[in-house]
Amino acid sequence: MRLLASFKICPNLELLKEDIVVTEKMGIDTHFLPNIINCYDESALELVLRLRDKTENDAIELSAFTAGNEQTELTLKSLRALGFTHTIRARDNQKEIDFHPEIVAESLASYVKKNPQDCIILGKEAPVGNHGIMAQLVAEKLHYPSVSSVIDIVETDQKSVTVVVSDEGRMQKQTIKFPCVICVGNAVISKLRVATLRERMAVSKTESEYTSLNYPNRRYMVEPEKLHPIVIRRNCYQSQKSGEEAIYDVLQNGLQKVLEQI
Amino acid sequence: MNRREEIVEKMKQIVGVENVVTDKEVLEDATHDRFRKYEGYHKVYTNPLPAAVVFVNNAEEVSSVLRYCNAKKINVVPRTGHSATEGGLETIVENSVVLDGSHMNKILDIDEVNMQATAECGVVLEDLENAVRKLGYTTGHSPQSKPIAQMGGLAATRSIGQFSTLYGGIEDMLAGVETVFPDGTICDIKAVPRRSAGPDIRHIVLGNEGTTNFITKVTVKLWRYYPEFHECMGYILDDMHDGLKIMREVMVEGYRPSVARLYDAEDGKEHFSHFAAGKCVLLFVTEGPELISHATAEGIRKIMANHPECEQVETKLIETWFANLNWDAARIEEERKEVLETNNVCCTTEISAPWSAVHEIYDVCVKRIVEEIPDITVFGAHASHCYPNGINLYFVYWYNVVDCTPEQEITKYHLPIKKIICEETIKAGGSMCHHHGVGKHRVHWVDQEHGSALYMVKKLKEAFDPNGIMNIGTILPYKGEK
Repeated sequence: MRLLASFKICPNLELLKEDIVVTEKMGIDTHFLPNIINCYDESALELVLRLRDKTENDAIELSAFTAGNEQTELTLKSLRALGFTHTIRARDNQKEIDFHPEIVAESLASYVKKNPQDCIILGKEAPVGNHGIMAQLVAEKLHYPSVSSVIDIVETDQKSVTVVVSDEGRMQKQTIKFPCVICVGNAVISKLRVATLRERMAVSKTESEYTSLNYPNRRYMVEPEKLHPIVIRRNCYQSQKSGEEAIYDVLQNGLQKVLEQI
Repeated sequence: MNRREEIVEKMKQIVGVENVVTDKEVLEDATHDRFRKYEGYHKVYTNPLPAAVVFVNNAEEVSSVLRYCNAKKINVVPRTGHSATEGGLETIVENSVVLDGSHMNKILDIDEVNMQATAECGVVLEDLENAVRKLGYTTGHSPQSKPIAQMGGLAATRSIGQFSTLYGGIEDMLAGVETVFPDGTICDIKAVPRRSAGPDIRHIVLGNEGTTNFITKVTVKLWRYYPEFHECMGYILDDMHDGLKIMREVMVEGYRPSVARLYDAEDGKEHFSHFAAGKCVLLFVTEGPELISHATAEGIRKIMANHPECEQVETKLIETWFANLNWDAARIEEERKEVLETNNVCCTTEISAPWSAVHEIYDVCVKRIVEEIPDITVFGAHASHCYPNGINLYFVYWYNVVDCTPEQEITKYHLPIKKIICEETIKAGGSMCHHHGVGKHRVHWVDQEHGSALYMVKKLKEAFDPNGIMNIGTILPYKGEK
């Protein structure tokens, strides 16, 4: 059985201060920010690892796909250390994919056509753009069925996978036949496990596989002509305490501040 | 009435019912500090519950509590911000009293003529810093725990901050201090520029870790703050040893940047992989009046120009990283969630070493720990406090907790790592504690640390705490009931 998880490395926008600079390509300048795995993709990666852990006899071959520049290599190496047999990077050295999920979808679909997979798992959206259409585009291009709002992957056999889907707060189990695309939403698992130094050393001489970006015949997305970031200043009280103490703190001090402002 | 009930009753009489907390959750939380954070995150508590957490409001209340506990031989664990990392706040004997000074949180005076500020022990450092910044000054003290650490604890543990290479550690900042001894004596060491009236008795208070006295008030020096003249420089390089040599050169040549830091590739991976993957990162910040800051920066740049192995990086990369370095309550909560999901834990041990020994300590510790300790995911180090005669190394290690219960985590991973670092450091001529104190988990090597000078540490303890009621097992090992 072959499972492929697709992920994106993003700048950690939580660290962005108010001095926002718009780039020539109508994006926000984030080159000075550290990178993280997009949170939904991080869940997807951990979920497939957990699925592999539950499956006997190494019956699952894991692949990880991303589009990005060299900064993604550290993550790809970690994924190899964690047991992803294939780590594939569609080279994007000019940040062409920002605002263009259709390019990533085309590149991913192109790879899968040459390297068939039973199941493709990816997060529901990623910055910059957060278009939320990647899974549907990939499914459409491959003519695979897709399931959205997946919060857990429960089990698999050689022919299907069972997932938990959250539907407006109600949860249900669905079993889907392969091949399919799974779109992970607010999953129960949000953090990817960490490879040990020994695991990393064991893959130190291995390398990623590379492919180029594939461009669809038609661009779906709008190319912004202007970008005006809107900085939202929340007028709120943030407690420095945690747990029950934070509740009392907000009730005592936070409300007091709000009342003073009124 | 049993002993526990008696203690609680007496505490209520001294400080008032509202200041004595006996809720189970609060007591559980008071049994440990961040050394046992993994156990705490799993809500596993291996130390005995204290009898109560007692909040004091003034030095007189502290005096009364200590006098009672001294007479009844009740262990007292002093604390303020609860941000200790070496087990100094653990309650290792039954029916301890956790004496909490965090309610003593008034800034008493900001003296702009004499350039010093006086604060009660429970003032959060960040609050004091913000107050003096409004007037154009700084305390110069900026540990990562600044948003949560409080003045009493910062003095009691001999803390140090990120700008130490210019401003020094808390020992260079503390002008005066008020403290209370177990027999109830309140001592106020006056704040003066300097004096030679016998031994410097501030040092009986500084770093006592609650083992001989309870700090109630501190007076620290102030400096004028010139953020507009700060200069920041960052470089990447391949070799940690080259970086250490450059830091020595900068110090020996006589420059005093406020920040001089060097990260190895492993430790830096967490912070700098977006521009320095697989590289070491060396950075400097200069500050002070315009002429001094710029001259210091110019001098460092001149030194760096002679090191082609270093490549300068854009300032904004360093500034952005530096602006997000501190730990606040939200970040600790984030860590808790992450640890519970991944079982991947980060711990640290900081040491200091003379220039001649630091290279060997770094190499041996990296080699041994990577080879000998299982499940390590990151083992690296950074140097962040420089002196003319040496430097610190802050070892940072992450490991996956595998096949053991939360209460076994310390003995399987953290203590064996600490043992290697402490023993190798002492063997090479360094100190096993740079700025987190001894706590209760480095006492195993305190005799090697002090050598013949251990006599003085023991005598101090015997003199000021003859009944041994102050923070049993901290700085010196607990030998059990006599």
